[in-house]
Amino acid sequence: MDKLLKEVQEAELKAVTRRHFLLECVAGVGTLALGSMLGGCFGGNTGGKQGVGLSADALNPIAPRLPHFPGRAKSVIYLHMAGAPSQLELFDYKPELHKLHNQLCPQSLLEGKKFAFIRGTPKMLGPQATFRQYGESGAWISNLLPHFTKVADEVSFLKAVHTDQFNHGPAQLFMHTGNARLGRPSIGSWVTYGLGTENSNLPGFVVLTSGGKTPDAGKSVWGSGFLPSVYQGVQCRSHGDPVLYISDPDGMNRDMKRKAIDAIGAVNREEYATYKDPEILTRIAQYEMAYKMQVAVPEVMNINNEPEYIHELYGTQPGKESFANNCLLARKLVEQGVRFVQLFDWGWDSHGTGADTALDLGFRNKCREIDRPMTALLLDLKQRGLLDETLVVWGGEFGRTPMQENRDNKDMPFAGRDHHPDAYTIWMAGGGVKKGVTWGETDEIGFSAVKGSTSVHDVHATMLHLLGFDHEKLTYEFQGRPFRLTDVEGNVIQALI
Amino acid sequence: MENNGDLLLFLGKWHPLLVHLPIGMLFMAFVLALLSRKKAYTSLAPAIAPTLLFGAASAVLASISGYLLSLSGGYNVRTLSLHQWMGISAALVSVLCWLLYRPAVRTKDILSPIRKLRFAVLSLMVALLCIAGHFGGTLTHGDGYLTEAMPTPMRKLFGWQPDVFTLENVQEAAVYADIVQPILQQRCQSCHGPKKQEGELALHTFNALMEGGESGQAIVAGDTVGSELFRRLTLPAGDEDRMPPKGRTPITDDQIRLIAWWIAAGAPADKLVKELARPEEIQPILLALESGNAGGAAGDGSVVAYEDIPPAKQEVINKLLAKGIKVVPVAEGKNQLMVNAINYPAFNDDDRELLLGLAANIAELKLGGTQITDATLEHLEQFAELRQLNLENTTITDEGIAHLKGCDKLWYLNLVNTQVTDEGLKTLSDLPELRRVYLYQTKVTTEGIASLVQTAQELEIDTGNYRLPALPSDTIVY
Repeated sequence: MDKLLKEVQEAELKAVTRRHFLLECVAGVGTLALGSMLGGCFGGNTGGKQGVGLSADALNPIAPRLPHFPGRAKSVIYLHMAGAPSQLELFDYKPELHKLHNQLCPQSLLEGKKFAFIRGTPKMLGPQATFRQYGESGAWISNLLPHFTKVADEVSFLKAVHTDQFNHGPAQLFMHTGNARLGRPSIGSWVTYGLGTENSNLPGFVVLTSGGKTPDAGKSVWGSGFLPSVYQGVQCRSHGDPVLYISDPDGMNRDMKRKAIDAIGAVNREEYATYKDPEILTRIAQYEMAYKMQVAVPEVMNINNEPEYIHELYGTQPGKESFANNCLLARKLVEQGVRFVQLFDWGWDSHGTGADTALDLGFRNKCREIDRPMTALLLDLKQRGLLDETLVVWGGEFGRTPMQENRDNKDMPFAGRDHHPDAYTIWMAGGGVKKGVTWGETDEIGFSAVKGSTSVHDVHATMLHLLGFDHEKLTYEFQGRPFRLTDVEGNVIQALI
Repeated sequence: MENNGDLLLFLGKWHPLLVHLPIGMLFMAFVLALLSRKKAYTSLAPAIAPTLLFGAASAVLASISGYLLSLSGGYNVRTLSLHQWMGISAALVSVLCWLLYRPAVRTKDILSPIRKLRFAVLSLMVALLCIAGHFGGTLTHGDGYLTEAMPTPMRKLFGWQPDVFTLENVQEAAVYADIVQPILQQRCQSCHGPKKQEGELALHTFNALMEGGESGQAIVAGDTVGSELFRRLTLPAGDEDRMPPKGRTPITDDQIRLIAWWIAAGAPADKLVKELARPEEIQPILLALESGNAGGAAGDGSVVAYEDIPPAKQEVINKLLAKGIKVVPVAEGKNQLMVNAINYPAFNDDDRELLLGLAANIAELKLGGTQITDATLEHLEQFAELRQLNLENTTITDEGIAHLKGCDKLWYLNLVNTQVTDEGLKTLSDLPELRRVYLYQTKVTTEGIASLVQTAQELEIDTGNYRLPALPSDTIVY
């Protein structure tokens, strides 16, 4: 009897909250209308929307919004090589550095510079790879990426990107959030905030990691910062449950789950009616999303059903955590309408302290691990007609020095290079990027930019441009001022578009 | 004496700090006076005089420091004199106000005749204060500072036109007056304009621009690299001398290119665009000016061009939305639509009526993986705006493709994993704008493709089926 009474009481409460919610809506609709009328009055926000609270689509915060102009790119796959791969062994060919090999570095290069580990006077280190030009564009690619040479003409290189951070954590944050300090939204969050997701059963921003470690900067590199947390990256795993706790626990079936989510949703809506906190809407949306994801995510994350020749193309082995598997997953996710897929591959910090970080040993293994999959990714996107609207970006958080690392002013056991923020290589392909362009040039030893110096903000501005956004106008009001990914800097790299 | 001069300027530099005191104080006095006229607040009356005293004293100090600051020069003369005299008047009238509100000391008072008018005098003082304050703001922040950020809807309310930077016909436009000057106005003239000339440089007239400033000539006609203006615009980010300075809206790459182009052409005062040589890299930038995208957005392959067309009916859109079909405009302010059935894989031929209602507006149609057959494509020729059509993983055959005739804007066609054969490809050679066709997992043959390539040379055809042969290096582990 007690139980029954409790149920009646609950049902009553349910009814009251709904009615209550509807009542609130009457006032709410007016406010929404006012909000959109005043929308234009608060700086150039996307469609005048001030975060989720005032958006007309308040109950579906990840609904697609509108780009400022019709960009070619609809989705992004960002391949981040965490640890920072050496541009001097992959794309930035410096024959002069060969001649200087093992000579002491001239003082003029060291003056006023700070290095993470180099102390005293290091020796120069010649390229630990051989280079050739490939394709009609004549792009320089080293022998460590033999498969990649096949797509040389699909890709455009930024050869003189610079950052202002020489430690992994801050540099990764800068590369992904436009700021070296914690607290800013990642580029994936900005893009999902701007464009929403196409597939309503999948998150708009998915993160996949490989290499056995998450990036130094932690999960903040795919965090949503001050944007509503619905825009943060959802990390998926390639073995076990793709998303932690996604399957129903024992004794809980899908109907029960539905009822539970309905009840929680009703309570949350009442909360929202009272407090108007956009995070409550995020929470409602996330419960709904999680429910839909229970079916959709395991399906899209399952690569077992891919034909054998696709596995051969990518070099994938189902059930393993690998960069190859993640590349194939990235293609599947984009095909299913996911907006931003972020891959992190750990293990590129080639200091030469051990065999695994030696440029002639461990580094080569890393190159082999990515060469086939990333080439396969471009080819597979292309044959499915997805490359036209998918922007693929590859790069690290900084580059590496032309000098051999001499940690604590001692010779190192293996060939390695220190962190170098002044000039490194990023490539982009698809999504409206011109093909076969090389923008920027470094000096004859690859130490500084001499032409086309490109900042991290410029890279971001260009990515947003390709997606149809004026990076100066994609803003979010926070702490009394509009924030943007590129802060107060950034220029679209015209040579690429 | 040298020292003396420094001291005076130092005192003058206190002006921006001091000036806010009288504004607050004198306003407070006005509020008190206003309130004390009501019966309930008469008790406030005694506070008026002391507030006025402090306000007037600080106003006098502000006036003196302001005068000292003005000696350092660098301000627009006209605005400065307005600000100066309004400020001094406000200070003097505030002293008068204090005298009027002060409790009478003597019985006979020369001011008694106008004492009745004291509230009017006080109001006048506040008005002067507002005007002086506004001109002060104009001096430091530049002309139009207050109104430049006014939102467009509000501007319209006042009947002001927004500063749009578009050209009707770029070929007929004057290079300096219609292109270079508006850029300078947009990005430079808040500091180098009629109201304020930092570094003694003004850019608002042709003569002033040519004259240059403190650092000498700004423009060397014909010599882009030798022109100080160009050098300042292209210094590395973070350089102290780079313009616009950090924190101001940066000038765009395209805008710099336009200025460089004009300087290289000899910085003519009145030549038209069509009279100058136009290098290839300048042409898309010039074209972009016609669409109002001087910020450097349109006019290239990464941005799709769309004309203005009438909007689609909302009730038709709603019907699609109700089925779970995504319908989104291609961009802000555009009426062309992207339609995507990714969340409604059950889409079948019965649903085609829904699409027909939007025939004039659909620019991108994604029906990949749905239940459609050739029948859905029957009225495709009505889709005049169609640029992208995704039919992958459907049972579409050559018959369906035949209906594409008339889709003259179609740029992208995805037929991956469909029943299309060489026969269907023949239709495609008649589509003038078609640039991408995806034919992976179809029955087309190399011969069929070869004959299509012959007739449509700009077309990129992809049949996929890529393989990456195993290399010996694939298995070497270091």
